Amino acid sequence: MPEPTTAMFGIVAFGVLVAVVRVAMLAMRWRVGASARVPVLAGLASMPRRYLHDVHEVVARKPENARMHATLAGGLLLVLVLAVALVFHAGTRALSWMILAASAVALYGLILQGRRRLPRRPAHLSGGKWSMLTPAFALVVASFATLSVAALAAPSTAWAVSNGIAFACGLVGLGWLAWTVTSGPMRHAIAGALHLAFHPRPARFGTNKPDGALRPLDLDAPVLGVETAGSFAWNRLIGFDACVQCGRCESACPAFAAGMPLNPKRLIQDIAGNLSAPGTPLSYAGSPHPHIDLARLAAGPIAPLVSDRAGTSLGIAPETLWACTTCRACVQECPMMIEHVDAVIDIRRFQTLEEAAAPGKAAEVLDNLDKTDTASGRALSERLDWAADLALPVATPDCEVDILLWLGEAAFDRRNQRTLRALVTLLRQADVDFAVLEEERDCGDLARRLGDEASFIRLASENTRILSGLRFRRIVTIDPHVVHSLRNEYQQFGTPLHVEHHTEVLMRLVEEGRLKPGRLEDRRVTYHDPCYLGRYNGETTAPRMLLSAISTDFVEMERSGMRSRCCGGGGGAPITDIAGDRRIPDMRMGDAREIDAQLLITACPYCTQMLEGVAQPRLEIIDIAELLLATAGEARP
Amino acid sequence: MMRIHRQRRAPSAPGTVPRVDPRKHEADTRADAVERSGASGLLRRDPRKDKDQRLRRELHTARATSRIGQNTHLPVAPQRIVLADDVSWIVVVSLSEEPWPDAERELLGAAHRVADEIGGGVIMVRVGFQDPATDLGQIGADRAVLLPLMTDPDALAAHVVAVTEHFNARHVFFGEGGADADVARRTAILLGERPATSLHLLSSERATFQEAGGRTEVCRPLPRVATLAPGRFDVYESGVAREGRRIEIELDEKTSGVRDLGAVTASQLDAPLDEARFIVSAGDGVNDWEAFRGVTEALGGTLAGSRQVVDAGHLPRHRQVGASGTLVEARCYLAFGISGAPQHLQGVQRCRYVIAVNTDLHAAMVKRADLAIIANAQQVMPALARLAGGQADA
Amino acid sequence: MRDPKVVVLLSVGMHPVSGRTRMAPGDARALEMALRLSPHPIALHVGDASNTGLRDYLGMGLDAIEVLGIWTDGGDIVPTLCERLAELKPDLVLSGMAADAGEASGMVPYLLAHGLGFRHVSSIASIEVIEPNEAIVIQAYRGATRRRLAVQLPAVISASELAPAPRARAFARSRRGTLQVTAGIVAKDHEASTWARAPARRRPKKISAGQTASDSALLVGLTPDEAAHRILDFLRDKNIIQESGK
Repeated sequence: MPEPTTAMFGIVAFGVLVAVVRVAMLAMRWRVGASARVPVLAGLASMPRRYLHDVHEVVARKPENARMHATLAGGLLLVLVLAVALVFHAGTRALSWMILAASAVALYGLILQGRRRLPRRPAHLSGGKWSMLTPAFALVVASFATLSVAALAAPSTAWAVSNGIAFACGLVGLGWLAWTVTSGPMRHAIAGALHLAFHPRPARFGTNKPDGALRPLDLDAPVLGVETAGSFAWNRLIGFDACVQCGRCESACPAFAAGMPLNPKRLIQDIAGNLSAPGTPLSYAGSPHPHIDLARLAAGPIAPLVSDRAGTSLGIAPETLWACTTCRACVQECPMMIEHVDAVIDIRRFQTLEEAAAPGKAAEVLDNLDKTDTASGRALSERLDWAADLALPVATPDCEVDILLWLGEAAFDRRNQRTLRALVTLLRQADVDFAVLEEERDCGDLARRLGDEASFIRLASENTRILSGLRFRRIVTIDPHVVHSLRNEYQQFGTPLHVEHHTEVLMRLVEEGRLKPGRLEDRRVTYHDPCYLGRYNGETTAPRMLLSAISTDFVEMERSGMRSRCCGGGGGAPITDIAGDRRIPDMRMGDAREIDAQLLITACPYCTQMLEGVAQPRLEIIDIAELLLATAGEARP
Repeated sequence: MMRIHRQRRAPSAPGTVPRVDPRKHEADTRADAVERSGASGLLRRDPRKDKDQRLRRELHTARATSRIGQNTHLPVAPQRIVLADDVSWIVVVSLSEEPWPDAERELLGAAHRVADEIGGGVIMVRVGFQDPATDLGQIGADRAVLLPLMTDPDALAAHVVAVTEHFNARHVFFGEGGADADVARRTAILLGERPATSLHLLSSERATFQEAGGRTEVCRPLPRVATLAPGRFDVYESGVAREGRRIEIELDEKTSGVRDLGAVTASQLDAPLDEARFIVSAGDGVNDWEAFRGVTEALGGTLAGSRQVVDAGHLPRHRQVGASGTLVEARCYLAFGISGAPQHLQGVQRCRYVIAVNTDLHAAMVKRADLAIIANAQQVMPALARLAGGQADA
Repeated sequence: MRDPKVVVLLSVGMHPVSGRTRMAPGDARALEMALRLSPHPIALHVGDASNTGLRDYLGMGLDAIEVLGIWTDGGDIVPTLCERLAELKPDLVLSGMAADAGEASGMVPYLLAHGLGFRHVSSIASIEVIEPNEAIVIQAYRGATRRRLAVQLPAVISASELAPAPRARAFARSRRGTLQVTAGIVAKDHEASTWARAPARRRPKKISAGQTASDSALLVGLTPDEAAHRILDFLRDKNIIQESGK
């Protein structure tokens, strides 16, 4: 029987050997991906900082998980390093003690990990190989602990036997862990680290500014959008392989909660699974896509990702793809920094631009955008019809204005016109210099989320051209989708635009004393964060400051701020209209009912529409501009 | 294939000449008049006496008529304008299914405006007309040719051509829509005419229609064959009835390369909403879905619902009526328990008749309805199903 | 018939709201019908090949469009189409009910059928079967029962507005499809050139007598049976249901 120290080294060496082979195989998986320009060295250099800072920030939202991972991973890594050190410093008792101590730390992590799945595995966690992880770690920890005790103790036959057993356990445990580097739980360690280094959105790290702007598509490419798993760039494939199946995305996803056929965790596994050879069984043991869960076998990296309607093929059901509201709740929650929404949009781009397969009323809406530059097919001149009595000033090239008021699709909707009217009244009360466009075109957000990048590029270029001919200090809009498009996604089409949401402007006017909010005392108020204002633009304070200035009884819903729940109105979801068990706005209304709110304040025309679509009895829904105007009116003598 | 007669004013076209038997003509007029008075109950005079002192009044405008009327004593009300046979005629053609509500009356109104200018009269060709009680004189027909129901448009066009040429009619007008528009174009081909279609304005000289998707207005001389756009012409409402005399014309049997294999009988229940003729629709006020289905089936209607009902999963999305669903054009829309959100009302804007059954007297749907019944839909539905169904058995 | 030779006639339309060129909605339905019969129908257009509206049809999945003649404004497309169709000898010629732009009289299929000696059926919602000598088609008019017709081939078939909606357009397909231009002389439409044209004025539609509110009745306090009777009477009166109750 080998010496305990040799045994430990043997186990580590075996593990490393297996891991090296399996990492090479993993790298082969990613070679199928499309090319991408990634600053490799700078990425690798920034990896530790990204891990310790950004990843930790996400993981720490569940402190027990952070503790589990830190102690287990930290303890085990320490054990392995010390075990190697022990070979070179044989007989150093301190090292053996240190291994024991590290094992104890790892054991603590192990207990935390085990408790997550006991007595019953929660639905958001995956079973299968992921459930084997704890026993495998237990084997390794026990093995090294035993061997290090043996190294401290006097050699005897009993120890020899136990060393033998421990050696075997260590080989099996660490070998299995190393083996799963290609297609099992431990893949996350390698892929996760490399994903941090080569992340497709480096701007997400190190700042507090969200980075949700979609990457433009080259319309001259031979194939538009993502058709197969292999059409993704290699660094994005690494991202999918980094998934730890923790199910945080699943818990955050509004579509999943509504029983629509989308589970973001499963979606990532669908894509990652297709990197395996065709026909390989997909070892997925988590929650399925509700109702429609097709993939059982890998279709291979060059087979279509989205299945045909017959359901015989192996891919993702079209309903899964189109159920996404692009709310980015999954991305916000993902500890591995996976970009689910980017994946969804890229697949949608292929479906729309190459296959014209966007479901529901998408074809009609995209046709409207193509032919009239409005989503509802209205004439551009009709956008100002609601304001015929307001005599809105129209922006001209030779007259500079402070604010260019962007009306958006809201100008065509009766309900949203009330919000616009309130904002215009407030701006006039505050004596703000503003103007509207004579012929405002759609910003292209909807087209882009539906995968029609061609229409987005056309609209964005056209809008940029028109805007560059006008003189204004900033653009103000009530529509967070317009804020996101113009502020973040128009950058590539020209000079950056200074775009503000109306909550930001109103808050500043209140701060400057140019608007005097009244008080609302008798009603409990809550605020619904629009995804495109909160998660996409990080603006969660302005509306809250306004509300706390007005309301004496302002209460937060359980999901709020950057972790708010979507109203179901984003990403073209109302247009593709995928069926579920419940409606997303109904669930959101439930959130507001739970805290006994009487007024639900919104700051987005689509949120207003979606939430007002909830059947009565429901809470009253008021845009923040309307509330400010109504209370300010009361405050006036 | 029909031979095309290019003569504009051929007194008679050989081969397709319709023969008019004068004796039969007289007898028919009499019989028709008797039946008319009997069934409608509107006319109280003796039609035979009426015939004796036939009214030969001229048109008020009297521009083109060469003959002076012989009438010196006008009869007591109701008055009827009776024209001589040799005036200029305008033929209007109306098929069994009106292409839009009031199409027939609008055609007659437009035809009379032109007829007044040229001092002529209007001959109505009505197809598939079965009810002899209807007084076509009341709606503006000086003469009426009743053709049997026929589905072959080529045969129909040939008959229209025969009538046109028999009367040497100056113009033939059709409604622009449905099978009428098809027959109009076939008639134009047979007459060798370039028709003016979808007219918006009309005079004896000029016809105005729109082209370039309604951006340009085109004025051209009024051709022999024309179709009129819906809702552009006043109906005939002069207060004075026309003679409405029925003319029988013998017609040759036509053969065509198209065989009619009959109506496609499919349950109306699941017919596409945008082509449904009679829609039965449910809103929040309906909770007995079996009864709703039952009553729809018993009435032979098509199922539909409001957005709330569809959201709740009681009906599939393609059954949703409204701005975000389907904009329907049914002849009748029967709404059970629908309060009538603006988006929903937008969806039923183009329905001819709306019936609302609702408990709320102030519901928007009730205001829009042609027949509104303040009652619980739950109770009315089974009663209606029973009555409609029971009658079907009887 | 296993491989019917299908020709579809395509015109370019104009969007009613924006005035942008587009595919004519009726012709798009005809193309949809054609694509269901044959993966590669022959598509003919007489007009200007640079018109971007043609790309819309390509976006539906058409490989190519044959653009006939050198187009100048005021041309008459019928002789050119007739000539080409006589060469092609198709089994089926599909068209929309009327063009979306231009005179839009809906006469083209009639004139072509007349000129070529083909049968012509109009307002067809679907083509069920194509047999060696005839096609079985469904004719549909709004608010009327659909009828099944057997039409001898060769035939011109005009697609109804109730025919299945055209498939969605894909940007990539519209870019990849080709326009094959065949030079030739397009006859002039001399008659139409003499007509006076002016920008359209808005004229409100007449409100027909039946739609006035005065006819409406509001009934309160009826028993369910009375209510049912009133509804049935109304339906019969307006000829919505026949006496038999159906």
